[in-house]
Amino acid sequence: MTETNSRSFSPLYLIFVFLIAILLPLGLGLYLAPRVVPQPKIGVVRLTYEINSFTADLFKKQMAYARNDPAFKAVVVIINSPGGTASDSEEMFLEMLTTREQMPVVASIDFIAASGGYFTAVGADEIYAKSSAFIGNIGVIGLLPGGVFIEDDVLTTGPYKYFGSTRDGDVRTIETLKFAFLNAVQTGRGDVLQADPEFLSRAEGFDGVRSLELGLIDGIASTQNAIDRAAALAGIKNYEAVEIFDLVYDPEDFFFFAYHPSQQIDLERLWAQPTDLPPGYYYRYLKINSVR
Amino acid sequence: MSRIIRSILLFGLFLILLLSPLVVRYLGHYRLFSREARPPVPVYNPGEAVSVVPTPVSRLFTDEPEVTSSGYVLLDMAHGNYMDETDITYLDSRLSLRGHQFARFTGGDLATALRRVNAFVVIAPLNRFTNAEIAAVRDFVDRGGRVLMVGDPTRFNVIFSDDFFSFSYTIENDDIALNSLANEFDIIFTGDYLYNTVNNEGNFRNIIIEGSGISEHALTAGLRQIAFYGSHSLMVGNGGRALLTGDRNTWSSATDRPVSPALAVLNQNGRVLAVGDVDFLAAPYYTSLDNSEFVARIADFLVGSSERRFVLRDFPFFYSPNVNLIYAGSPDLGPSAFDDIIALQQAFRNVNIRLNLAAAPAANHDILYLGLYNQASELEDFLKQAGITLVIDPPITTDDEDKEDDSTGTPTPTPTSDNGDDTKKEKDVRQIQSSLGNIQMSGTSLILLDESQGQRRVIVLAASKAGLESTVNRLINMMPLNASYTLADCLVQDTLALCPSGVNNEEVEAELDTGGAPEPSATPVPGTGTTPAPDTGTEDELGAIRQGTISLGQTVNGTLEPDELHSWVFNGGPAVIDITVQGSNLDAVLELYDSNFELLEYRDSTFSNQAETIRAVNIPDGDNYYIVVYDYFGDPSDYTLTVTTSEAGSGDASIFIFVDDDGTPAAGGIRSGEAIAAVLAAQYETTIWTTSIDGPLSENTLAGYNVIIWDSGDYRTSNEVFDPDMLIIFGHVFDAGAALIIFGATPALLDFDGGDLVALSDIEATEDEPILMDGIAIGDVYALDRTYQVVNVLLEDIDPENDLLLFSGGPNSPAVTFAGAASQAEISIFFLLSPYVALPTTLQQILLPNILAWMGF
Repeated sequence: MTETNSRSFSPLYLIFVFLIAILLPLGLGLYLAPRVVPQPKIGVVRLTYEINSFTADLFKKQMAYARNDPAFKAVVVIINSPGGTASDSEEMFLEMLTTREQMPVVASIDFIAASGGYFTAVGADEIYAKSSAFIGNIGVIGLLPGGVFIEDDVLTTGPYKYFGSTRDGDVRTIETLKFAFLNAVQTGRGDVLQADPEFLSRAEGFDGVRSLELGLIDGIASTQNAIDRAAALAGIKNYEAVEIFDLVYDPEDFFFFAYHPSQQIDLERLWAQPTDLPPGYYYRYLKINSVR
Repeated sequence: MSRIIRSILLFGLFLILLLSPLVVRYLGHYRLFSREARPPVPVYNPGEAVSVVPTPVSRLFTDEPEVTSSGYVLLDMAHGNYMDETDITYLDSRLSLRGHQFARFTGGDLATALRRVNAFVVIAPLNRFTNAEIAAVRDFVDRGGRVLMVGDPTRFNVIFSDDFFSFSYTIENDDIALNSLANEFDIIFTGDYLYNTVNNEGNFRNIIIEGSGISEHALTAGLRQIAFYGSHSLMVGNGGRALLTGDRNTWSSATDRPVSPALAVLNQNGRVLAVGDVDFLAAPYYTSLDNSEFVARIADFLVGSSERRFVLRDFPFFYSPNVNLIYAGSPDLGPSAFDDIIALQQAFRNVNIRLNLAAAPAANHDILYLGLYNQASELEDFLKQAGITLVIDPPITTDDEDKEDDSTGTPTPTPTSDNGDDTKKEKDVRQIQSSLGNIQMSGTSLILLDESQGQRRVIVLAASKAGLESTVNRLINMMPLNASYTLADCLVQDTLALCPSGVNNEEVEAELDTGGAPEPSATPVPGTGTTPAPDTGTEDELGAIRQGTISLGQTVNGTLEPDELHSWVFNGGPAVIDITVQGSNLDAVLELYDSNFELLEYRDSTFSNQAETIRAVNIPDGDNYYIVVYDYFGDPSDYTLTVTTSEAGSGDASIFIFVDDDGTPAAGGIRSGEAIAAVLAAQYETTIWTTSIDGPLSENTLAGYNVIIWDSGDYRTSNEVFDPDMLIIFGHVFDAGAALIIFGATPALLDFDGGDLVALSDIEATEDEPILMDGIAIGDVYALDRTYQVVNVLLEDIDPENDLLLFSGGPNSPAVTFAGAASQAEISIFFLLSPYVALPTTLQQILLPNILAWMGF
């Protein structure tokens, strides 16, 4: 005799099972999805005006923040700078390279990326600029020391203990720094670079079109295009662009800089000649006035 | 289906349902298959990729030139030259090794300054050369002189911002002033700088010149590498050559094209070297590569001219260091010749040439011949070579011969006038025949430069002794490096000058008679100011240009060139004289020196256009006294100088006696007005004004008085230097030129310490000024009528240049170092720190007339 082992399920039971089996995982999945797969972010870091220890410190903190937050998949550095101190410029360039090891870094040149500003830019995967931007001015400026002397009442242990370097030594140092700058450009731009070092060492500044031709940049693009490009390099298509400055600094800190990086650019300040450059080496565009 | 399978399916479904939102979300944010490949992060390692830029080698170079000559190289410092001594230190040292040194041209006549040198160096001038200067340099080069022009693109007129540390600056003017001179020689300093970004010396603007860039020339022979530290590019016209040229990677900032530019060029005749950089001359850059050797070669170039051709106006700088002075015709030399010889030797010594009196020429010595036309037969060959014939027909005989001729009826030659008028006798011919035409000897001096037989000789001939002396003076006036051109009034060729002798109605004398002093001539000497015939003293020690002699009662005129001093000789003593000079736009300064050139008087108390007078100078003897005239600012000016007998003691004084008794009396109130008036009554008109009676002075009170005697007795004002009476008195003194005499223990003028008084009971004479202290001997002590507390004037307040310290405190007043003094520096002033009536009567009688005489009354 055949025994049928069958059970009948009430509709309520079936509904309950359906809810448990279908909706629970689905709901759980929907709950977890934004937490496990957050919307990717593209960090926006702005390098604006003079490069000095304050701007370099701000820049480094923002880049470190992007690296340490997994939501950030790429960084776009928007540059409006005539450069500044050599060591801070190089520091930011190295910061760019460090960040590149984790995520794409794209530079977007707005008005000017001259000298140290461009030094920083060449650390990016790609550089975009407007055709009207001022780009390049690759070179070094330094004040040569004056004559040396000794005094009766002050004893030093070497002829340059007072002065640090010889006049001729400073000439050599400045030239060596020029080569280091050129090396950074060659390193950063790689095969894209079309201009030879001798030409670049003329320290000319170029418009975006000429810069593209010389391989100093990768394209003519708006800042948004550059952000899109960073997203493409990061393999993301639905992202949020985030000003990292706001995540790093409190409003109280603004007084150090007297501006918010995302504020409208003060062109007068951007192009102004520096009024005080202490002794040192500078990757700086000066825009000298003359009445020749 | 087993339970296991169903469970697996259910779990799978669970997972699918669980993960599907995550997948959907991920796919919504990320691109699965369109991610672009990124190149690896590049490695930045400049430590390996970049080489340290080395300091260039400094090539060993031993500079051991053969010294064949000595002399000067003129360095331009008159055109705002953007350089300092450190720029030329090394070049200077190279010149020194070659027996030469720099002479600085700081202004004046460049043609005159170029006379003494073989080379002219111009470094980075910011001011253009004038047409006259360009012509002078052109003439200099045409006559074999060498010129080094050094430009530099870093040496512009630049205005720096107020902020010392700022990079901000503005270029005011990029005009290359050097081109004003360089263009004359077909050389152009381009308004650019050169750069080379491929092969440079540590910087793009530091140009290395090497290989074919160094052309073959004596200046560059053996050089392998030169470095210029910021250079213009240069262009040179046809016939010129580029000495140093940049390579094809050397670009000009003007074109930003490779131009293979010239950095150093020579002009067509090789006498003008132009270099585009200053810095390679200076430390430390001259040590780079072969720069030091190149600088040495430039020094060779500057001192090595063998083509220098001198002309007469270069006198005396074409002479070798040893020159013989020979009198043509071997006359017997007397005292006036000695004066000439001494003056010439002094003048030559000032330009480092030794002038020796000699009877005949000697080897290795150049020659200066002096003589009369009538005694120039031994110079005939030299004159003939120059195309000069001296015609004296009939021959002029000596006095002895004249006497003989008189007895035989031969006529004595009659002097000819300058213009050869009717007084010239038909048969008397006294001519200098030359390529300049036939010139009358009378009134004409001849100066000839002859360079034959390996010697340079200057022949100076004149018609008379006076004419010869005048011409010698002209030569002396040519010698100072900053002398004005003294042949301007002569007929001049390169080696010949025929000049007016400045002697009216000059006779063509038979022989040079130097037995006595020459008579001063009243005729102006052209080219040396409108002066009488010059004296032959040695005023050059005063740094003044001798003008001649001025006698008592004479007025002479003169013309001061910029920064020029004139000296006049007065030997008309003994006399008491007034010396007055006045000129248009002249801020005159007068000085008087004795025969030993000791300064006797100095006067600079007036301003432009006002007369300057030294009054009542006692000239005790007939020795030469030297009056020096110059403009305080060194401006050019005409002037009139007069020496007259002093009017001292003439009584021509209007005297105002101001008894200032409105202060606090220290000794009961002492007034001297009546006593002073009594002493002066016999000779002068006086007016007494007593404050306590007549009130304070007003603006017009002093009008018409030329002597103010300010007697404050023992009164002391509390106003000190703000005393209103003093303001009025000094206003009058300065405005009207009045003299001022001050008596009083605490005169407001000196009472500026406000209470620092010392005791004075006697005074002691400390000066023997001949007029002021006439009748008073140094060391004479005069007791005052009592002890007074007087202002303590310190000795350092006395200007030893201008002030005479006449009295100090006597033995009983040791604290008083200063009791009386006089000065005529700014104003004519005398003061004594004592009430007048406190002096012994004898001194009162002596002193006041002396003071007025000294002041010229």
